[in-house]
Amino acid sequence: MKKKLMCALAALALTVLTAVSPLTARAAGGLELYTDYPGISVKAGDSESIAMHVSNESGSAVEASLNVLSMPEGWTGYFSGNGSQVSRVHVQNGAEADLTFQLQVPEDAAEGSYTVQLQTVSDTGLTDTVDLTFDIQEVQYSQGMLETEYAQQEGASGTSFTFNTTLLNNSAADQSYSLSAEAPQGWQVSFQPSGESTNVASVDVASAGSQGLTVSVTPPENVGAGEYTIPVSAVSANDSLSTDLKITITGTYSLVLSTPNELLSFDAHANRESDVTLAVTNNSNVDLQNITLTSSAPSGWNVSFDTSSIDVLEAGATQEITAHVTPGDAAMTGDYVTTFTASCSETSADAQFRVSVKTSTVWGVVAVVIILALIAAVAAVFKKYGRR
Amino acid sequence: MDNIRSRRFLVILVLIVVTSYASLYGALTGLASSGETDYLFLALYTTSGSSIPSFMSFIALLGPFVGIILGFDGITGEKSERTLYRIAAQPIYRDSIINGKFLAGTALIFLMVFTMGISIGAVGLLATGIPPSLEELGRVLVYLLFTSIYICFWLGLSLWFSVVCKNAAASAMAAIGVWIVCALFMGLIAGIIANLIYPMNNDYQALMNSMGNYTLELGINRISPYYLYSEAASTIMNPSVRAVNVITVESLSGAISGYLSLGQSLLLVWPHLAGLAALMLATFAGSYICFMRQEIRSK
Repeated sequence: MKKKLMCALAALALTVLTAVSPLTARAAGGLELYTDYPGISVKAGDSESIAMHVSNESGSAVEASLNVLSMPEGWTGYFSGNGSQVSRVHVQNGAEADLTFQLQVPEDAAEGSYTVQLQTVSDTGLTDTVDLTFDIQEVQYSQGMLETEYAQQEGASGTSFTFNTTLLNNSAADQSYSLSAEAPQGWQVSFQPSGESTNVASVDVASAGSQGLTVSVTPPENVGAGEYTIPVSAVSANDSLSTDLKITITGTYSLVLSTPNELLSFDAHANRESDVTLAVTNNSNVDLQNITLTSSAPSGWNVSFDTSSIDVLEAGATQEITAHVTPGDAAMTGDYVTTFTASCSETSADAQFRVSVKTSTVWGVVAVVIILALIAAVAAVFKKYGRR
Repeated sequence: MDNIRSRRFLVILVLIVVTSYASLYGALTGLASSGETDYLFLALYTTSGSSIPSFMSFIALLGPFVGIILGFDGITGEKSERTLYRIAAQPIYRDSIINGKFLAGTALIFLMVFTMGISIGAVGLLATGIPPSLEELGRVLVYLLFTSIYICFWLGLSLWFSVVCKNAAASAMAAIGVWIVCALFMGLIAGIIANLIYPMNNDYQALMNSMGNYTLELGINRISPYYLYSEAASTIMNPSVRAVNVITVESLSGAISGYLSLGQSLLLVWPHLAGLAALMLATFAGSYICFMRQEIRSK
């Protein structure tokens, strides 16, 4: 596209040149200052190097001074040749000297057409003038873009999400974008330039350039299941870009079965009921329904619960349940394992309890009583037969 | 005093001391290879070496000897030396004679057992360098108490025989006979009786009768004070023993290995303690009654 434009411009310039040059040549009387493309389209702030030529058809070698006749306000320019600024040029007869006109277009140059008039005057009085026309067009402004590669992501609670985002600056000027995200309460969003680990709050993007951004999103621990939309925006002086990141938090199911004091052991006596308080905690991000409690105890043992099922346990809630454990007749003194299980259709939790079966101290008292009775019997024998 | 200086007591004392220290030596060598870590102090008493039985089994076997030797000629000796009627002629109550005989023996037995037990522990402590926990100390003391009562039972029994029998030899033979029956033949007798009542000759009978058979055999065995004492001692000295009766599969379901506290171990063997104490008091009461009803006169 650009090339075509250039070609067209070149063709136009050539026709203009061929139409004009005989006139100027005639007027100059053999000395000519010209450029191949006297009409150039530039941008504000541009530095242009324009190739100029001085040709001499006057019949003898001339020395000519080079002048800038007129220049728009704020513009600067000078001739240079062979790497230095020059003000005079020597041209052999029938030859041509090559020069460069260095032009600096000011930053604040407004849209419009500008003319720079250059002149060469030889010592012999020959003169030639050339008009360079510069067109400054309105900056080719177009909206930048903020694109995300996979804008919809899904994960369980506790997952961190990473979005690869590209920020495009389509404008003709470098821009500084400040980055922000409107995350729900408790969510953390950070921006990192691609390949770097520094969190940034703003990023500079060169004109017509792009910047890869990694957006890290960390949901809070206890985030509920559902779909969340996080609008991310990059705002610069001219641009206001935004994209929506969509995160679907899937339900995680987690039950915890323990006791209120986390102690997983208790004492019991054979054939006597012992109570233990269980705590069922719903650590998932959704409510759990129909949690049933079961137990796996040694054979002959009897375990019952005061409530054997929980209809609804809200996310994060804890419910206490009392289990009544009766060790069987055959239980020996010492430790047994009893497992309690809380389960619902989605998940389950179990807790292994160490049950210390103790012999009732009543029997120890009985032993002492028997021994005392024996001593009493011996004392009776003493009384009956003694002291003779 | 008579007892301590008597030659036969010194002989049996030397025998006990030598065997005890031999068993300690055996225990120390056995411990080094067993790699046991819990209740190391108790293991000093219960571990047997490659060819030397443990302190516990030595005492269970030889303890009765001490009791028998101290008691078998308590009264018969006085009779044969014709000193009994002289003592009886002294202005003392007659029961003081039999009480004195029994109490002297009891005091000596307690002294000996506790001295032996504690010295074994002390030497073991020197050798291993591992101090006992309070629980272990309690178990050792309870074990020594059991041992003393057990030996006192044999003292009472032999004293009874010495009252009943005419001469010392008969009394000694009777006491040793009872000891041999209890220590060696009770198991055989129990097995025979149990098999008679609950025969286990084929698979069906084994299925139906095994529980009754074992329970009966155990019950008969427990008539023997030797068995009663051994069971109690091993329960006290081994915290991982959880039951003294027949263990069913039902009892084992869900059981995990662990140690019992001293109190729980004691509760397991309280019938043994009561039984041993009852036997001791009964034999003493028997010898007391027999002695009091005997006629004492000079020939």
